[in-house]
This record gives sequence, structure tokens and C-alpha cells, in this order.
Amino acid sequence: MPYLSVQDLFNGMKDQLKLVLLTPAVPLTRKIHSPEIHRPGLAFSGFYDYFAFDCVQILGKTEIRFLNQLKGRSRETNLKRFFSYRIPCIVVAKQQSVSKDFLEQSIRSGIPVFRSPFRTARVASQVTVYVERAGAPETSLHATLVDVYGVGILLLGKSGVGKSECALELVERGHRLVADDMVEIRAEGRLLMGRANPVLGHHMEIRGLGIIDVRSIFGVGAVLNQKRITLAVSLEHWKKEREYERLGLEDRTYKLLGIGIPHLIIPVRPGRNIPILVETAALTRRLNLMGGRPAKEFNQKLIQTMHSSVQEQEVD
Amino acid sequence: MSTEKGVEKKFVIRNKLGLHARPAALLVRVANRFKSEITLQKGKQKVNGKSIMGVMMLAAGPGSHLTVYIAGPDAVRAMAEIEKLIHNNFGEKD
Repeated sequence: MPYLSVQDLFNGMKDQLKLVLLTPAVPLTRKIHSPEIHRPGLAFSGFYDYFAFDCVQILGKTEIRFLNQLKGRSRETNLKRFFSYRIPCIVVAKQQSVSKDFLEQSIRSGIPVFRSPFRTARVASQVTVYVERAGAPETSLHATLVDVYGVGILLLGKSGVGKSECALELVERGHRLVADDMVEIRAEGRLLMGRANPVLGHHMEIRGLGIIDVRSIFGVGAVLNQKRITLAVSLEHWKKEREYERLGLEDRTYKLLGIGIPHLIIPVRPGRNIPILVETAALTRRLNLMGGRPAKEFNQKLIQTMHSSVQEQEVD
Repeated sequence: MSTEKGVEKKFVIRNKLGLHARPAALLVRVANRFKSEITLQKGKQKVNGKSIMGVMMLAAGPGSHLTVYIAGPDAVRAMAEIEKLIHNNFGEKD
């Protein structure tokens, strides 16, 4: 599955990296299949046992210097071999000039060459991030995303269970809304990022009130454009036959785009103050991230207490 | 051992770590399936068998003696279930 085309990369990066196309005649239709970048120094020296040709090739000072001193037969064969691969594009860093024969061969092979004034490490890292983002798996979900005490919480549950009302109460209590009803989720590496659908923005539909704009009612401090999701909370109507978590010792996970996040199921029934439960869940999650496991620690203490009282009995 | 409506039975806790969080949760889960009132006693301490914090408060370690009192319409069935759980060492291997 290709991540993006060279044209997409150029459009997205030309301002950021001040990219100039050195081969205007070459179409930018090739696809980039890997988020990694490759520095083809070894290939120039004739090593092709392994060559990551399907990555964006970045020429830093090392590669250009090596090319400039490469002469005669080896230059001819190594470059011929290099240009025989289906390389998506080449980016030259640090505003370096490229020899004429190199450019001619790229044009003939249909490989676009760009140049950037920035240093190699910067070009490499920004290209990697951009390609990875463009190719990141995405999904959208009927849910609500809030930031509670800095913890991105995805509120899940059937329509009408009270996700929006819960989010509204949380906003009222000083937390932030990221998205209501529809959350767009993207996997960035091992992280899940959530944001609002651009059409919906920070609007909410509250039964009995209609559509409200959270940003204009509560101010910019009450909203956030995107947030990393670190906890999933399902709200569901209390089912008598279902047994809910009583201890907090079991770690349940919710899988999204192949990434697991901690998952809590909170039963809803009249009189239960859900926003306070969500706030407490957020704080407990923060405690967990700082290494605290209240349920485990409590249990260990209990076991210790029982152990020492058993020993006392034995002494008696 | 059964009184008019209630039943009473004595047990010895045999699982390795005693009535810690997991076994306590299992016991409370079973207790909550019944309408009867379930009381656990260790020494002088009596607690509600449907309250998880209560059961853990007993700190019933291995070898400790526990008396279970159950009163209500399904007392006999409840006692049978609790007995099974304790005799199976709460499903723990050792």
C-alpha cells in the first residue's frame, strides 16, 4: 500500500523544506512505499546486495562528496546500477550542487531530484514524519473525545446513553472538548491521535437544546483541536446480569487501529454522577502512568497483613 | 445447623494467600446473586458478605476460621455456592 505520491510529498513539504525541483521535466507520479528515508552512500560505492530503493533517497554531504570523487568505470557502473532501480525521488540537502551527468541520468530514468537548503538531519526527519503521517491508518468513530486533567478520554457508548451530556458537564467543570459525536482517529506510530471532523468542529447536539457551539459559549480554553487518546471509557445502561469491575486489578484494553488502550466500562443509572467518575478515572490513569497501582498496592498490603497475623498464630 | 430461615456454617480458609482481593471479589460476586442476607464472621468481626471492602477488611489469611451466616429465601442455595467456592480454594491452583 503506497503512502503517497511524490507530488503529494512535494506539495506538502515545499514550503517547510524550501524544496526546488531540479528536474522540471520529470513527472512526480511515482509512489512512496516506505516512511523511511535512505542515504545511498553504500550504493554509490557499488554495494547493492541490499538497497532500500523504494524510500526517498537523501543526499547529504557524505554522498555528494563521495560522488564528486567517484570517477571512471566505477562511477559509470555504480550510477547506472543506481538509476536502474525504481526510486521514487531524490532530495539533495544543504543546497549542494549536483553534477550534470547525475541529473541527466535521473531525468532519463524518470526520477525527480529536489534540493533543500536545510541540513541533512532536518530534511531526513521531516520527510520521515510527513510520509509516516500521510500513510498513517485512520478511522472515524461515533464517540466523544475530551481532555480531562490532561488525559485524552474517548467516551464510547450507544446513542442516547449520555456521552454529550457527560462531555458538557466536564467542560463546565473546566475540562476540554476535542470532538463530539464523531471522532477522527489516526495512528501515529504507536500513538492514537483524535480530532474533530472539520465540518462538525466543536459543535455539539444536546437533546432538548439543539446544536450548540462549545467554543463560543465556553471560550477557547474549553476546546482543543487534537488530543492523544490514552483511555477509553464505555458508558452503558446498567445491566443487572452483568458483573462490573469491582477491584481495578484486571486490565481491560480497547483496540483501535491495532493499538490497545486501557478500557473502563462505567454503568450508567439515574443518580450516578458520571462526569465525576470520568474525572476520577482520568486521575487514576495519571497515577498509573506515574507508576501507581492503587488496587495492587492495597491487595499487597492486605496479603502482608494476613501473612503476619498467620505467623503470630503459629507462634502462639 | 439450620435455624428457621437461616443457615450457618464454619469454614477454614485454605488458599495460599488467604482472602485477598481476587477471592474476595469472587465471593462477593457469588453472594450478590442471592437475595438472602449474607454475613461473614472472623473472630469478633462481622461483615456483610456482599461488600467487597467489608470482606477484605476481615483479612482472613490461610488457616483462619470463618463463619458464614445466611438468612433469606435462597439461603440454602447460597450456602452451597459459597461452600463450593471456598472448598475449591477460589479457583486458585495452590
